[in-house]
Amino acid sequence: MKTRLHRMLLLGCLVVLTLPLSGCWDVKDIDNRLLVTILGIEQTSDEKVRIWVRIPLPQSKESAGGGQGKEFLTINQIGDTVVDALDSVRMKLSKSLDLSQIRTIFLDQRLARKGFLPHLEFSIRDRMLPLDTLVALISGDMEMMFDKPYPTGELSGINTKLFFEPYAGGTAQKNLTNLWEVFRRYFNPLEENLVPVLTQDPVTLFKLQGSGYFRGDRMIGMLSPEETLIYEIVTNKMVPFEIETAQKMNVKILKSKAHVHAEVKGNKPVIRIRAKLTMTLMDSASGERIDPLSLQGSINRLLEERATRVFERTQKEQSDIFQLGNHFRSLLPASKYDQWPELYRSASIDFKLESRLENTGLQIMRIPSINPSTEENKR
Amino acid sequence: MKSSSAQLQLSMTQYFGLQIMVFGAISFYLYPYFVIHATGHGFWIPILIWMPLSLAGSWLFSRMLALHQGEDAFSIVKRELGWTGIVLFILPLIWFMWRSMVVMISAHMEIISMAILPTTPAWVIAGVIWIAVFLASGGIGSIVRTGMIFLLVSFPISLALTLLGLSNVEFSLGKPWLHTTGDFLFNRKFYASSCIWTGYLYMAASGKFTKTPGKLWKPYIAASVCFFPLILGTVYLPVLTFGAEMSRNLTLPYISKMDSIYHYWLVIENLTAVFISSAMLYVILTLALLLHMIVAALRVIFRGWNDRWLYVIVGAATYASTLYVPSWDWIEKAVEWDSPFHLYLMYLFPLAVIVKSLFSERKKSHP
Repeated sequence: MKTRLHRMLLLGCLVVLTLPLSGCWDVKDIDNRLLVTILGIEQTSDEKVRIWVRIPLPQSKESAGGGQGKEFLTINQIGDTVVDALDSVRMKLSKSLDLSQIRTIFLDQRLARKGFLPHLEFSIRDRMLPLDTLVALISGDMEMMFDKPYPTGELSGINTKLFFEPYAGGTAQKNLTNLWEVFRRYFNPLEENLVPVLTQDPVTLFKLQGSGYFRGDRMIGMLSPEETLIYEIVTNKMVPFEIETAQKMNVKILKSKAHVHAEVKGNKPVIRIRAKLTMTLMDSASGERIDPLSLQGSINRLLEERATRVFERTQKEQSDIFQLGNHFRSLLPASKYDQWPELYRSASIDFKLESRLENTGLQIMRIPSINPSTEENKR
Repeated sequence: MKSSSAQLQLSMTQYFGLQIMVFGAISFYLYPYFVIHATGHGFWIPILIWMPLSLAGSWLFSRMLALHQGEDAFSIVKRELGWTGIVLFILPLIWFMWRSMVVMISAHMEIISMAILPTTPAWVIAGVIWIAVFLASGGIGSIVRTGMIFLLVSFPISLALTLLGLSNVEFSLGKPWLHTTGDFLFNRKFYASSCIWTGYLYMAASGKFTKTPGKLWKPYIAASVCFFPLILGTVYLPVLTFGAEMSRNLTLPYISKMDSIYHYWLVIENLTAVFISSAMLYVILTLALLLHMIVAALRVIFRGWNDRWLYVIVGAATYASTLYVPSWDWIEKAVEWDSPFHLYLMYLFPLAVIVKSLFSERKKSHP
């Protein structure tokens, strides 16, 4: 009897002990949270920061979720710092502001030109934001981007993420950049940041303007979307959906592989880049006869000339966005890593492209007998 | 709770499993921090140096256990060196094991609180020690059986996470691969990084459950070799993703690496939570092993004491101590301070016992 009682007591204790096993404490349920999906940080005229947060409001047809029938809630707030502004936003809300689901950070281009570090440092210090959050710079006013509904629907707040992601609307020119990449390139003296720049669009709310290149945490210039393509080729980040025009023809780049050879000659970095592109023809304008060799030559010339221009600009401004410095990790002593921006300026860079037209697609044969009347009419 | 360890014999596979669990409990958190701060490049060199050294240590240790088959390290020390051995080796070993438990629980407490349960108070998370007390009080049989089940769950997860971690790596960030200045030899963090190679000391009490304790170094070697890719991963995955410069600025580079993994096709979004949950299994098992060992050591000193009470007392002392750990910085420093201490126990402890035994035998044969 005593043993049985003892066993029952032990079983009771075990059942009670299972209760705290989940470790949950002071839980804030999902319906008591407001999940921020985009955070915008812009500068105000009085040297303060204004933050924008966009919060999707889940709702079903049967029951309106909230707001004024809107699918989202937008709040903006001025503060001395981003954290200060976020605290002020919390003062206004009846639910908990949850930043753990942020998918995109929009950073004002003017702030980026002064240095992004004071405004983004909080994100990594407190693990407040996911490290895979996307970062984009915004040229102009942010209000419309946050205030208006997305023309393609809210998509659970991931619309801005889909804009960049290769599995959705991302293309090579959009240059997807994660928060951890921004910090990696800031801390690493052998590479610099290249972050996409968006601007307003009356229909789609925003569109790609180019990519801002940095020195340290300051943006110092901008590449056009076409020029960004060179970055994608050199860093092997090419997404196979880019269309390039040469000889009035459109080609799709299917694959791209670049090899970088680095050496130091007489205290000067010498860099040879050999890139190979595999393409397919998409459209031969006006049905011209296709000469693959000539087309390949045109593509090579077009991209090489563009690359030369981009290298010249970034070298002049000592901004190694191509991460070429990393190839010198074993060639330079660690004490010289900090001098890389200057060394990059004096580097000799030889970029050669070898493109190959894999196929020319299905061709429409222009045989007069197929439709003689049309041909005659044309004459 | 009666000990299930009477007449129990453990196979070499079971020892191998226990060693893997110990590696899992101590490799993922502080280790990358120590290695990345110990040198500027060629991280594999300081990682690899300790491996053969620890293999030599494990061989010495198993030779020591083989001196008196069927006895644990503490009884052997007492038999060979008497009270001098207890003061010189057993008390430091108890201290080291207790410190290891405090550091292990505090580190995990901090990580869990940082990554998945920010609002849960520390005293609740530290309660994990009581699970280990419950497990350890069942004896080595319960620990080993549970360990095998935990191993089946957590090791494949660790392996899968390491493979997933290969996304977004850039090998140029690991350069120079072959060059080293030997700078790490003058860095305290290099010596602190040897903490993950102390696993064979954790077998001080459980080493008596085999008929061939002299071969206990073999499962240790097998576990080291099997776990080595994961150990490399703890250092190189963050370095090849974030670069050494950024990794040095992160408190927990491996956790941050887990945070950064994103794949469209991956159903699980919070890999960090998966990683921490699986790592908890390693920790619970290793804590149980340590508790079992401390109690075995205390039993040598306090013969008449009840095992059950010893487990509760050690568990309560560890639990209370973890609540007094002031900061993460203290945890890092504690492992650094302990490094001369564990190096002493890794090599001098078995060596002294073996040498003393050899002298005793020589005396017996040449009186």
